[in-house]
Amino acid sequence: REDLWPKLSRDQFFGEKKDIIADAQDQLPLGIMFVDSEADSTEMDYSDINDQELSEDDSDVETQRAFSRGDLKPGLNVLSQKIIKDYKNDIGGLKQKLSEFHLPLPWIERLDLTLPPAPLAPELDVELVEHGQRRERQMKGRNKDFSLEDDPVHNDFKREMLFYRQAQAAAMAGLQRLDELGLPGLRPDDYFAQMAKSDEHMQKVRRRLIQKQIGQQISERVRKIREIKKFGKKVQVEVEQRKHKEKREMLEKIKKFRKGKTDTIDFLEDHQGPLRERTTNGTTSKTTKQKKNKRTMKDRKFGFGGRKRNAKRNTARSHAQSHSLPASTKHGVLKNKNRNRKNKGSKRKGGSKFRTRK
Amino acid sequence: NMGKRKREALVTEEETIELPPLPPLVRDSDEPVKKKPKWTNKQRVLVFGSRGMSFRDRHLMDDIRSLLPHSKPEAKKERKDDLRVINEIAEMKNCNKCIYFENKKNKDLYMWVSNVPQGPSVKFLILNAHTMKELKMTGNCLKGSRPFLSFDPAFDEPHWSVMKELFVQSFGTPNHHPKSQPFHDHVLTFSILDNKIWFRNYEILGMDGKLSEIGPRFVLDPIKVFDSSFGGITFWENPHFINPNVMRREKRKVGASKYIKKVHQKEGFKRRAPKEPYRGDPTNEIFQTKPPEEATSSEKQLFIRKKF
Repeated sequence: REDLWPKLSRDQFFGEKKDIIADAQDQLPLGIMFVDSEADSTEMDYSDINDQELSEDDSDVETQRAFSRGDLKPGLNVLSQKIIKDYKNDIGGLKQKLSEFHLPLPWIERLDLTLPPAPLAPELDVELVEHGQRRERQMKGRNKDFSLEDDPVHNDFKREMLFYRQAQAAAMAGLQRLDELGLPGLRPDDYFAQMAKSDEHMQKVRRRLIQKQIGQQISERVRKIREIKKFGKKVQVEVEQRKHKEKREMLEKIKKFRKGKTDTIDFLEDHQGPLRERTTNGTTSKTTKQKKNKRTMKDRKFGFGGRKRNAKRNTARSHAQSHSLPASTKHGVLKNKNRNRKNKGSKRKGGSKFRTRK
Repeated sequence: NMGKRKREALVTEEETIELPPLPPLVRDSDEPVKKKPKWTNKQRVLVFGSRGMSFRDRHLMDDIRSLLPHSKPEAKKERKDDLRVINEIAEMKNCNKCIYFENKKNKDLYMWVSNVPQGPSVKFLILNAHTMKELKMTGNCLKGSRPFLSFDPAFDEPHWSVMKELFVQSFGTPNHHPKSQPFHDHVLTFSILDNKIWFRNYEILGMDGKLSEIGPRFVLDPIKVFDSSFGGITFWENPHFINPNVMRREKRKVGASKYIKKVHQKEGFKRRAPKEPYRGDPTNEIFQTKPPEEATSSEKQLFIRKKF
């Protein structure tokens, strides 16, 4: 409670604590003991403090002090034994022992090399990155929170790379030193002697490697075929759809023609060839149509000796052709229905089923 | 020795390498054995294990025996015998180094490496052991060729340097050893990672430094470094070493806490659950009123003001 605390100036508070405590105790109402952790001498001022100290357990004062310091928190605090294990590290003894049993032999007798790992070769770096990518691809699908840093397989790969590089550095340095000493280094290809692993075992190893390789090749081929099939299927579907579309369009145009339209039967000629020819052509449908129109026009004008020069100019036909009104052309078409026919006249429907009696 | 050679060395061109002259195929037993003056570094390693080793541990031991041509085999030691017995066995076999494997509980494999008469000894726990026979190890080397020993620069600290010296003397094949082969085609790697020693054995494929893994691979977790062989005062204790038994116990505890918590929860609920249903205070209902909209037939009378 703040009102119970004595009102002190800053100097008084941070000055000599002896006087503060004496002043404070006078101001505080009875029953409230002001305990200061550091001021031991002030406790002598109180008459019964000696008795208190002797009678009470020291731990009480200690706990009060600890609480005021902030080491103890309110609540039930239990004293527990702190087990501090002392790990032995007798550096002097170790060094002495080392000097005792160390054999000062020339390097050729010991063949020991202490080197940091060799720098990362670019192909190894590529391999490392590839491995990381492969792992990511594999695991991202299975669990969402997958991180490459925590992946044990990738970390294992990195670790093995580190050991490999250390061995590489040592091997290169060792072979170089042997070369300097003039001693034989690597085993030549024609030197045959007993090996650590038997020949049968090495054959087993080789067979397994080959099987793995073959397995990889097969899976690659299968994957490629699957992709080609997918692509082929797509193309097939496309072709079918186009065919259906053309058929539909053709039928619609015929229907329109039967019901009456400006263009007569030119669309029959417009029909494009099979897909292959079309794709190889490279020209668009619009340009071919234009060309065809031009050709037909020229044929009409100049083909087979061309039109007769002084043919009647103001005939019913020319009149019909000049007025391109939908209503008149309809009639015009009807009238000239059999214009381009071989045998002008009515042709009986049913075709060859109905035979004319001779 | 000579019976073990499968095919003889073909030295075609003299200008390439000068190999030492081959000993004759047949030798008279009356002839005294020729002294080998060049072989000065006389290291003999006793490699054996205790009873109760699993097949994997046995294969690992055999791999190490084949890698070290200066090793001597020995029959299995009874586990109840004291470790100091090994010093006497080594003395009888005239070995000055010893690599001893011990399998505890059929689960953990420990390895002792020690310099037998007076030297220091180290006890390791072997983890992640893979043998030479695994098909992923594609390399091969001459049996008994002298390897390069590659150490991490972190082997500078005093306890690591003692282990390094032990490895150099025990795993390194002495020069001109009668069972050793002339060329150097493999390298043993000791690296320090995560306060453990990682051991790898690679075959050197070419001058450009291409390597292929041959041999056993394992991780050594050092426990203690002792003053004398198989005993004595401890010079160094590994503060990062966790006993495998302790690890297994902690693992099991994690699962057990689930059940214990459930039991505590049930107990607590039993204690806290009220024995009688909660009875409401009747005085709370005094001031509960219904708004006039919700009043039913008889209660509506309350709200209808009678005009007198």
